[in-house]
Amino acid sequence: MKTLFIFLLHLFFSSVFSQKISTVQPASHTFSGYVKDAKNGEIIIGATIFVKELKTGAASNVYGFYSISIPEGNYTVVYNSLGYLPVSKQIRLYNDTSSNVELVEEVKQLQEVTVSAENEDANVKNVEMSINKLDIKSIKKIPALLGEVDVIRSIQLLPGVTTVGEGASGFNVRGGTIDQNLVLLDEAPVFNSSHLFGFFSVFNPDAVKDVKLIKGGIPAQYGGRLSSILDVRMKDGNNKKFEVNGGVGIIFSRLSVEGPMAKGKGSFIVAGRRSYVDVLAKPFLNSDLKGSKFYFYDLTAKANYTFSDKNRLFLSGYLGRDVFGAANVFGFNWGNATGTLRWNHVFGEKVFLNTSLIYSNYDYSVEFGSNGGRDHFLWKSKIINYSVKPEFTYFLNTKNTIRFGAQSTYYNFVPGTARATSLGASTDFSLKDKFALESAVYISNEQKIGDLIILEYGLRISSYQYLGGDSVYTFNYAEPNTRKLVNTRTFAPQNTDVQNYNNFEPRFAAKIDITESSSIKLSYNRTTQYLHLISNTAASIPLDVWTPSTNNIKPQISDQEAIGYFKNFGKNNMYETSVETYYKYMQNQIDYIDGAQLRLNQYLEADLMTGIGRAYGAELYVRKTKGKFTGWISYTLARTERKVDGINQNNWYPNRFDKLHNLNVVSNYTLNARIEFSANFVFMTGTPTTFPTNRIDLVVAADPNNSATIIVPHNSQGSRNNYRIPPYHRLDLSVTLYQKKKEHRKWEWFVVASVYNVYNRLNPFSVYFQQNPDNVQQTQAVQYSIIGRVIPAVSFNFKF
Amino acid sequence: MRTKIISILLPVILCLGCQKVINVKLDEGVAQLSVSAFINSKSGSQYIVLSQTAAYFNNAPCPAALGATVSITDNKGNTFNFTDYNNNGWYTWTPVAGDTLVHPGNSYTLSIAYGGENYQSFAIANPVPAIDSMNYEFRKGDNPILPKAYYTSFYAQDIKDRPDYYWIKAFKNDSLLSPQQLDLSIDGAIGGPGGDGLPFIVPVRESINPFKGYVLGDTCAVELHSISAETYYFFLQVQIQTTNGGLFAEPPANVATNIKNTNAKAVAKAVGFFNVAMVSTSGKKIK
Repeated sequence: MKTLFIFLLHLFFSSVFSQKISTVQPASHTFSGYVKDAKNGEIIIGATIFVKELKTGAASNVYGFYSISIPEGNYTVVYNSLGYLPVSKQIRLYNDTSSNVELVEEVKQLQEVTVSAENEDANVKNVEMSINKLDIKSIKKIPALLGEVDVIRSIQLLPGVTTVGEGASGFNVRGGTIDQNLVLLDEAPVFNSSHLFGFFSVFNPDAVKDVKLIKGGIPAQYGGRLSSILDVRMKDGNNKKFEVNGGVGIIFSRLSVEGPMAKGKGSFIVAGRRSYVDVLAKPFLNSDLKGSKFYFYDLTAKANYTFSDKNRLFLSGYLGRDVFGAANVFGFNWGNATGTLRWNHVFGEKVFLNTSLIYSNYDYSVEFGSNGGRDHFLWKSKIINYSVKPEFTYFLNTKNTIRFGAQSTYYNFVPGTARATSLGASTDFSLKDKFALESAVYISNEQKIGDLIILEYGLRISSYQYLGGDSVYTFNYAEPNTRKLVNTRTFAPQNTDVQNYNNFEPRFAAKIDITESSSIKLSYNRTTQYLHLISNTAASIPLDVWTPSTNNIKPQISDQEAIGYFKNFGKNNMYETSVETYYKYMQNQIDYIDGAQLRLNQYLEADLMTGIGRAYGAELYVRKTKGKFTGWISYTLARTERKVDGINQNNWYPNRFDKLHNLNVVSNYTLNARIEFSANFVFMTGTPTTFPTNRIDLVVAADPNNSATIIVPHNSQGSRNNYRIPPYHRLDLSVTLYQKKKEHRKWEWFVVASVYNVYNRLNPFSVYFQQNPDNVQQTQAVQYSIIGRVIPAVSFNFKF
Repeated sequence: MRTKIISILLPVILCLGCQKVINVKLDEGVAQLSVSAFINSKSGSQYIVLSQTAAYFNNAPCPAALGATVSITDNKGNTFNFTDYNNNGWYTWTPVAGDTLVHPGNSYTLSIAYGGENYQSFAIANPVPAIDSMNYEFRKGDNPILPKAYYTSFYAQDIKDRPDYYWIKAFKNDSLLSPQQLDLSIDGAIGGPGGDGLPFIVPVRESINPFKGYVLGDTCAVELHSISAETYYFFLQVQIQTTNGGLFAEPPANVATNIKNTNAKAVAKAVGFFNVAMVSTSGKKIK
């Protein structure tokens, strides 16, 4: 690693040095500006700006900004973005010049459908690898469970992504756990991305612009999680005219309003969704059930204001909650709130600065009895964080783009505020808050070498402080997989340093063109994670608690290498293909002793173990982006394993989400301007699980008149995950009917009819073992399915 | 309790989750000595049941472990011998009239000689609070999950300033309710500490009801057993591992044991558990 580091330093300084030499040549000027959609003013991410005479170019960043420095002269510049008509401009570049451009959406008249926001050869030409982008248009074309368009479920159809099972919260990327994904909504971390325990995700499709999943070659500006970044960007809102979108589905009703502010200098969008099963059910419930509560909602809002070409401000927020309960008997709710304030500033023409202030909060509460009553139990938990993140992009010259910046996040963990009242007497058994500060600085350079090679190399230095506020424990040695006993306990006052960790995280990626339409890419990255989701169940529960690294819990570290071959073919590169292989080695992976007590436990650390993990695999991806027929096939051959002392006799064993084969076929066919068909097919190897060998007849009540025996499954080898449940496969279909197209029609609608699990397969989620309820002397194996039937759905959507 | 609510809610909401009994082929394992030694302070005979583990799908009870020598000694120098009178693996200690084996604060060592191996375990009798009273009421519809019926509650006060672990057994008309379930509590609260020194909280107080409640004429009896922390977590694991379905299942794993072969290097290992409990009881007739 040290050699790599020196190599990267050398590259960096040599590139800056070469810049000095180039100043002897004719004067360079910077050509910069923003790329936007002509219809609604939305910024276009990843549009390419190509200088014909120099055969060089640049791409717009996530804020639609581009900058390119070239020698003075007269040029033809072509702006291009898939799904838009190209725009060509003649420029006379004798000064630094700024030029904003608006692209017009390609009209559907040719029956040509494009489903990617990417440029035609970006798949091959970019240095980026292990990245999948989905714009909201393509997400909306995928047949959805109960007709509800869902970002996370769509992500699960990409190569390298699996889930522990249907309906489970989150997703697993290249063998990582769900807490190893940094899920960002306009840069704010979302700590629980699920509604209804995992069936739906919190992102309102009406407010989402695009989604980018980074699985490897993670650039230096990202950090804090091991396995992936899911970067969800919200729409800015139409700045040309007011627009209302909405829909009525089986689960949610949605409504969003967007429009211009301050004469088009700004725009806003407000989008809300609410489930309404409870509203529909209310008249049919008898009085017993009248007090029951069951709903979830979310509200997403964003506004932006452009002060000048140099300054733009964005404010975005999210608020969502799931509520379950019965009045005065029990209540259970959880939700996220996030807020992001961003300021884009351009220094000169070459330096782009985005500064973000971020707030994020995830909380839940569980309640029994009525608040204020004689018998009441209340338990709350939350994680709050505040973050500041300045990020600079320095468009040094046509060969080098330097990114540098910093991030600092202050965490407040509230693992449990709990109070029990019994017959009017109460005790408070809350756990103390925990605090931590996570900071990082980074620098990276994207460097073009000749026409064929692009390198991106950088370094992120992360620094973490576990701060006082709670008791600090040390523990005695205990046999693996047994509870550790407290050795010492001291109280650390708030804002004192308890434990520090510093990590160097080198990042490297390279692209080498082989032919005009093919390239090889490689990458290495080290990532560090200081927060851990404490979860021991098959699917994560909303009650799972995030906990910081402490003197006892070390940060997780991952090293990943990947290599891939990328090739496009067909007319206008309509087929994008790639093969990638990766190997990932993970340290300090958290595991749990058998019978661990994970909630409201001040000695939680005593019940944790750590081990190592490894994941490797190959991902094959073929995507057709144009024509009447679009879609992709992704196939992943992969393995993910763990080794923890005290589990599986200290040998490697497969993770719960280890799936050797994972095939996804996603397709869409546009019949005509009014009718579209979609289909997707999924096949996955069954998840591994532990099957018993023996039964223990445990006589818990040894009384000749009233005896009770519990039959406990037992594996006499002590194996973990020694079997696999049957494979999972499913076909979904949908058809979309659009309203007849007419010029200047104010009101548009479309209807989506979908069928989930078309051939009604009883897909297993798990297999477990139990006493036969009808004959308690016997035992049986039970296959459990979450969704064991075909599910049809219809949704109606409108826009005006 | 909490996961119970989730597992009730989900299928109700989605009408989706479904179970199916399937055939699977399992690996063969090794038979081990299985010890069920849950001794308590109740009067009358005490039993320790020894068996051998059998193949999981063996469709008869596990074979008894016969010919073992079983005894318990306490820290007061008493020895209690357990004899398998009926040759069925139920090793029995029968007291002289009025005598009981377990006394609060005493410690006990279990010794078993079986198949050429010697096994031992150790336990302490923790104190148990008295059950102060029981009552019942007729409920109609204030709880959407439970049907209209009589529901009983028992009242006890947790012992202050110490973690207490309880095992609650309820009897409807003298027969044990939900014999395959273990109703557990720490400090009279649910899922964790928090009830220290308080009256047992709801829903622990009401955990003695059958799912459909009681009807007029029923009797309800409660036994409150003090168990060790180790036994509490063992029972918790037993519960998890025997009802481990659903979206939020925990990883299947072997349950713990506190029965040790005195020769640590021996290949033969026992399974099962030893606990000595103080018991307080109460009962009520619905009339």
